[in-house]
Amino acid sequence: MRIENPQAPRRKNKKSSPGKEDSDKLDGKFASLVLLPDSTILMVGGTSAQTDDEFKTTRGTR
Amino acid sequence: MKEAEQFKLNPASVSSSTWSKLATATVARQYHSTALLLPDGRVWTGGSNPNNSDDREERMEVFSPPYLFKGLRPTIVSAPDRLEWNKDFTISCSNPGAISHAVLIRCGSATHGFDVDQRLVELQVDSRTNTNVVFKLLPDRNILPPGHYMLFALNAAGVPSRAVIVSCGGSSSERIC
Repeated sequence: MRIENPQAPRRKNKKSSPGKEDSDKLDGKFASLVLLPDSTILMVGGTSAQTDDEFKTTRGTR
Repeated sequence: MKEAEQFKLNPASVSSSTWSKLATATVARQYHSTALLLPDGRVWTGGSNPNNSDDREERMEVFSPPYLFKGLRPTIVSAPDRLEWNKDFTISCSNPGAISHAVLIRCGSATHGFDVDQRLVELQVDSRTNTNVVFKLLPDRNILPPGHYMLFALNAAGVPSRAVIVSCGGSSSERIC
């Protein structure tokens, strides 16, 4: 896991709703594990914390 | 990092098992993302909550594992809809001599990025004819709980067929539909 600045304050969601997890807590590497037919395990879909720049790069302006 | 990685277990020496980097995803994904094995052997990924936002990631990707690039795939022509514990079952396939084994993989039920019900059960070939391969289903319902599974037949190179969806269970009352 890459931590650029461990002392930096964590960002807060703009709003939350009942039952919605706080995604601020989820800034570590994240991935899904999938069993494959050849008896291997695939780790896919994961990333380290996505920065605003990364988000804009892959999806455009919010 | 967006590379997929693959873990190959070496049962004879667990410490020498390996992780290998594979193709790189386009989309960064975090919590509320999902990956599911598809019956055709590919892996679907979708979802995610981007940081600092209530947006939802709506793009999906499909990952093709390396086994899809290793030559011809076995073909299951027909298989039973329902398998019973401790009983033989027969599949019809294009080239029975090429089938080295089969696996049953529990149909996906992922949520919040996790699928706690994942399981893979390997089945050894019991006998063959010119058109069929016979397997014997395990007797243990704790290892193979009732429900629906994807049945893949594999060749010696580890290349899987497309899956056939089957249900496992000793009686209709034990099956989960």
